[in-house]
Amino acid sequence: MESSGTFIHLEPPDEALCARVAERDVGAFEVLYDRYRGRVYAWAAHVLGPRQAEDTTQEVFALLWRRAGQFNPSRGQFTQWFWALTRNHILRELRGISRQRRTQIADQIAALIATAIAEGVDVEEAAFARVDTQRALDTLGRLPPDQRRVLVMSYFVGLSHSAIAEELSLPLGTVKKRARLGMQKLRQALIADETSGEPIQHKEVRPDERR
Amino acid sequence: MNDDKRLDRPEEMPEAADALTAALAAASRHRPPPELRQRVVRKVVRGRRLASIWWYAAVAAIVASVTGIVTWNVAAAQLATSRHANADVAQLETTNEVVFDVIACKGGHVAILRATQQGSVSYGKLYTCPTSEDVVFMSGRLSSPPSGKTYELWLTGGGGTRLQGPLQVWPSLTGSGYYFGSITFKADRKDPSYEEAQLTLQPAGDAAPGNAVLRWNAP
Repeated sequence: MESSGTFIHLEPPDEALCARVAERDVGAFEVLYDRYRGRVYAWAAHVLGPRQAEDTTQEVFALLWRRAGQFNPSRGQFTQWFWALTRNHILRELRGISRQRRTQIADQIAALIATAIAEGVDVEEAAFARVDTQRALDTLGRLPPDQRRVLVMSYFVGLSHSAIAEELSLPLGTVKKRARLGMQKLRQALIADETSGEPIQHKEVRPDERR
Repeated sequence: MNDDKRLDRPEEMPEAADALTAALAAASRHRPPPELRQRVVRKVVRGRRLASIWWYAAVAAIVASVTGIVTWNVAAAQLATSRHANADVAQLETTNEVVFDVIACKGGHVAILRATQQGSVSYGKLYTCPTSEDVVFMSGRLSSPPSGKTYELWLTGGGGTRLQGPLQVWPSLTGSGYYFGSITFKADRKDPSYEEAQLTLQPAGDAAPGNAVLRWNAP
């Protein structure tokens, strides 16, 4: 079965799909939905509750459909834009939820992620999420738990560093330092992955790169 | 990524947001129900239809004022062509563990088989893995196989073309009316490579590949 064959990219990149969505291409929209539905839904389910997760997921993707034309690839990756859109929507839904409750939610998420890091990823989930979830867990697993906790509290439930400091009874400087160190380690881990030559998603590979 | 301002907030580093959201989805037991997909797609399509209907209604009203003919059927025809077929990725949930291992394999490769007939929305994906002999082929948006014919996967490599087996197909869970199929097999070595892949529709038992509905050729 020797050949000089080249395998080609799995599907168009997010940025190209988003451009097609802006032109009202439902097929491209469906591909993006399939790529991100699991993560949007899980986020909404944990932060807002399973009952609201369906509506929130639906609203986030409706926003994607309506605002796709606003995405400008020269200003960043699709994921940066999409996660900002998702996060803004979920945090808007969280308005009125107390800081204490947000901290509880964030701690539940941090505990879940810690368990997944310790136990590994379900292969079904890896296919479902369409990203290399094991690698994501490995990356987050390189962070000390207290740094990971600050990032989770900040990102998923939108707590400010000063709010985190008050909730954890820590000096603001300590929280900022944990956030900064956590992000530095995350960045280093992600750069290490990028330079390892192993793509997170299937990508185009030339014959001379395959062996 | 050298800007210090990016070092303390995941939302300003897309890779960090990707890692966090992927980790939560992996850790979570919550999964979007399959029917949600249809609801979401229906919602955006309905929005587009409504917009089109209002647009055509305005046009029709102007035309009617001049000609006395209201052409609602123009809008209807336009709307009927607007719907793209559903992707069948949700079907992954029903396949076995080998499938998940191969398609999530680090450094894996995939060849996309395109429809040979213009207008067809069928597609196929052939996945290989550098650390495994297992190969997975999946195909979506297939028409129902006519009586007496089956979908077969034929692969060319190493100077020969070989039947890898018939495709098991079943109606898409998305309710699109299309069929989804898959086949898993072991290659003769890890990370196999091929020159051509064809999905044919032909009577079972033929010794040579028949009418190809999907094809991929190594460039």
